[in-house]
Amino acid sequence: MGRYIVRRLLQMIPLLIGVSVLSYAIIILAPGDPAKLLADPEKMTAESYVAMRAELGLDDPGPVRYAKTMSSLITGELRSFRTQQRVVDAIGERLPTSLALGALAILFGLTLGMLIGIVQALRPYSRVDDVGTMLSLTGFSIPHFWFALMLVMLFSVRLRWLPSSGIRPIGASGWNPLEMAPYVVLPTIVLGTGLLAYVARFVRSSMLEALEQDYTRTARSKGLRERVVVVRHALRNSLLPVITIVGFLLPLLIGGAVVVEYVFALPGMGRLAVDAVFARDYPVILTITIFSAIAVMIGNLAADVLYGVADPRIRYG
Amino acid sequence: MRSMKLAGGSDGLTRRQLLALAGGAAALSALAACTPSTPTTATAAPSAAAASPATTATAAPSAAAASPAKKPGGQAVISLGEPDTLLSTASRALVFSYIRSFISNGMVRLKYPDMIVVPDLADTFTASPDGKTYTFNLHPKVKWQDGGAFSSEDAKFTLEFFCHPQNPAPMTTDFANIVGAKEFKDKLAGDVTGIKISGDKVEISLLAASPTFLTSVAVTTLLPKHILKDVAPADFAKHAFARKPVYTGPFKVDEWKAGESITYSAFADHFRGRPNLDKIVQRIYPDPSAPLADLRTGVLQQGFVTADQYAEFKSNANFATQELAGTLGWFLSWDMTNKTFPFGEKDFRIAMSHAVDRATLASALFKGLAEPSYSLASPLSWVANANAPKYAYDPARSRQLLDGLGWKVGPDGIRVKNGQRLEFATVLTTTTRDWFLAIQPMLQAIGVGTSKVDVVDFGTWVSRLAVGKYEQTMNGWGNFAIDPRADLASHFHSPTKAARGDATGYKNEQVDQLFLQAAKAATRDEEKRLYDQIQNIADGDCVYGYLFRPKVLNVNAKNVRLPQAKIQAEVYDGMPTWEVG
Repeated sequence: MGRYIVRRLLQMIPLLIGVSVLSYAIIILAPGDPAKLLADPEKMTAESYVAMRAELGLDDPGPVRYAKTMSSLITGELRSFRTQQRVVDAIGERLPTSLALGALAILFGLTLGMLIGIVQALRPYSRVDDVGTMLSLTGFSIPHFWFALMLVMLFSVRLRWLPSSGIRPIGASGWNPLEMAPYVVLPTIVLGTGLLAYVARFVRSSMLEALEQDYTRTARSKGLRERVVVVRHALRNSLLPVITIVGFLLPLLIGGAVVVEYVFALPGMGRLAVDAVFARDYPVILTITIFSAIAVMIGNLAADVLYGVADPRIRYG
Repeated sequence: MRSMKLAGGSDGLTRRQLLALAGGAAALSALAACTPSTPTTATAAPSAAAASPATTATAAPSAAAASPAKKPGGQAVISLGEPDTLLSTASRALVFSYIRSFISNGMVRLKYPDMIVVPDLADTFTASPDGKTYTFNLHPKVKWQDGGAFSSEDAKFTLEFFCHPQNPAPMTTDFANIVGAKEFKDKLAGDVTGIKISGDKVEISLLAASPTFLTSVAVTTLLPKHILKDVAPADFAKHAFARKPVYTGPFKVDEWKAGESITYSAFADHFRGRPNLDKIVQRIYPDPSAPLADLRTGVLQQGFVTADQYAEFKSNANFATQELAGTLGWFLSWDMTNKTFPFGEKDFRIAMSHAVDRATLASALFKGLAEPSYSLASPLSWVANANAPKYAYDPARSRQLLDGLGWKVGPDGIRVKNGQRLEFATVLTTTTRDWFLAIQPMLQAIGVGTSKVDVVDFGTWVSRLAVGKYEQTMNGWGNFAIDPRADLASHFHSPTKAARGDATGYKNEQVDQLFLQAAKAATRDEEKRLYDQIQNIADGDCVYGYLFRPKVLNVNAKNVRLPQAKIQAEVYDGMPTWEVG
């Protein structure tokens, strides 16, 4: 297993280089001139525009710019065009919010999704199953921005139970879970609902399949309690597709959730990325793209490793 | 582009205004540079504001001093966009110009809405009769927010930053005009010899009189030498100061939580007296719906809303509202160098302008909360010419003009001339697309085809806003962030336009000459007369099809008392007088 992980990690290096080259090419080929967008409106002249392009390195040939950018990124000195802040610092400020929100949403979606999927699978084609299916389809279909606004209207504006924006109370600093809990409830529900629906559908179908398998029948015929049959035999074998989903969801932790961050005014990675795109802030865009690529690769690797944990038949050489 | 609000609120319009304002002050500086710097300028006084120092020196220097605190204490939570940096020399965001007004000071400042230069850190300032020497007498009890002693050394340090050889940015024309600045920049001198300090006095000598110099000084925030003296000028923006600065203003920055909030606290030792509020929390909202919910629930105590949202607050007794003048004027812009379509024809542009029913647009798009626009200068500005030509809604006249140009109505209602249909492409952003939907039928009614619409993101739109890269677009121009003379020069003075990237191709030699004359005007009255003439000609030429100015709609909780303001900048400028309770 250890050798397998090391090999996979080494395989990521050329892949990351490829991602960075391709991303950088796409970024710089996109229409729009960062210098024009960033120029000081009170001082811009033809001369200052030229100076700004030179300062940002925009006049260098593409490969030179790429090499300089990657070199700065590796040393941690890559700075935002717009704010002059080090990109790693900017990401460091935003990542905790995205990590927290993503983790809570995954937890919410997985827990409830699995629960609903199991209940549906145990009562197939019943009213309970129909309700679960309806909820899942609603979760799939509901647009995040609309759902978020409806929750805000109900729980923040009408009932005044929960705050409508921000990650912590006004004036508070740090990461106090008790202070922050009310602020993450609505974003977690919005972000987790789609996932919940997804997981519920997968768990239902794989559980139904598992419950029909010979090993389940054998377990039952041995006189095991139904809970043991379901949890230890059927559910464990139904987890493979769920692990796949979780693997793909890991980038969510890094990339953030743009819509949810916008509606709830959360300082996450999604907003940072979108703002950077609109400002043609190449260093920030590139760094986030690479971070996201790493997250996807790690997510896939984690999923592959977890397959082996969930299914003893899978062995890695 | 971040979502741009329809109303001219804090955040959404920032990028638009930034673009619209690009090159504005520089335009004036460049214009001033066009004036001969010969000894003849010795007879020319600078602008009236500078030429009458006794008058300006007695003007109320700060809102806090003008209105003593009645109910000190409390906290206000406001909605305002996120700046790029809090370093005054590096920020390019309009939002910072609002923040700057309550966290920092310059030697002089611009008074809104007339944009006259008035004292700030300098109690008085005078100009020599030849307009080449300015003397600023600094207030003796100024302190930096970290308790450090303020002195004229800080003024010299700040001014020299702009001329420093290690500053990668080129000197602006006004700073290059200081005696010895070029030598300092070229490393031929150890300091700028034209900046002399003595006690609380700062004396600046210019190579030539400049009507814009004081404006440049007014938008220059003083920096603390004791903090930045060992930092290379090229690295100022990378220093921790850029996110937690120390200035001399009535509020100091406590904490900037990226994407979340900036907290300010009262600076008790401010030289004009302590501000009323103890604390300001600036919440950063990326989406216009989020502050709306927080305003309703009382979390937020002040913010700007769109026309759609305004009525709800206006009729609610828990809120106070103010309808502020629109600081952003929108207009149709054409590439006059285009050879296919008649944008270069004055009568065509007038026909287009006559086709627009501005009252209907204001009503349909802004619930009546917009003013029809007929000029580039704000009507509140001292340069505005209320008598300049206006091409108001008159579709019959539009049709007559187009007929006269030989564009005849074709079978499908679109005009045709020599086989060419009068149907051109309009480049829009997501915000202007919605507005253009309301304009389309008005243009179609006079036989202009409008179906070719190219909606692009803001960054792409900016790159296409140049002659040869578009046919028609909707553009916006923000007033009050720079000298109002620059508003006009940036669009009508052809050398200035050429320097910043010309979007229209408009060129009128008579207008260019008038700008040069205005830059040498001896009095404000003479200057005003010349700017009136410029507008008579340029507006007569219908350079743009002016549309509307959406009002800026302020909402604040009833328990927060704001100064009465005419424009948005005044709301923040008057922050020291805000009261809660």
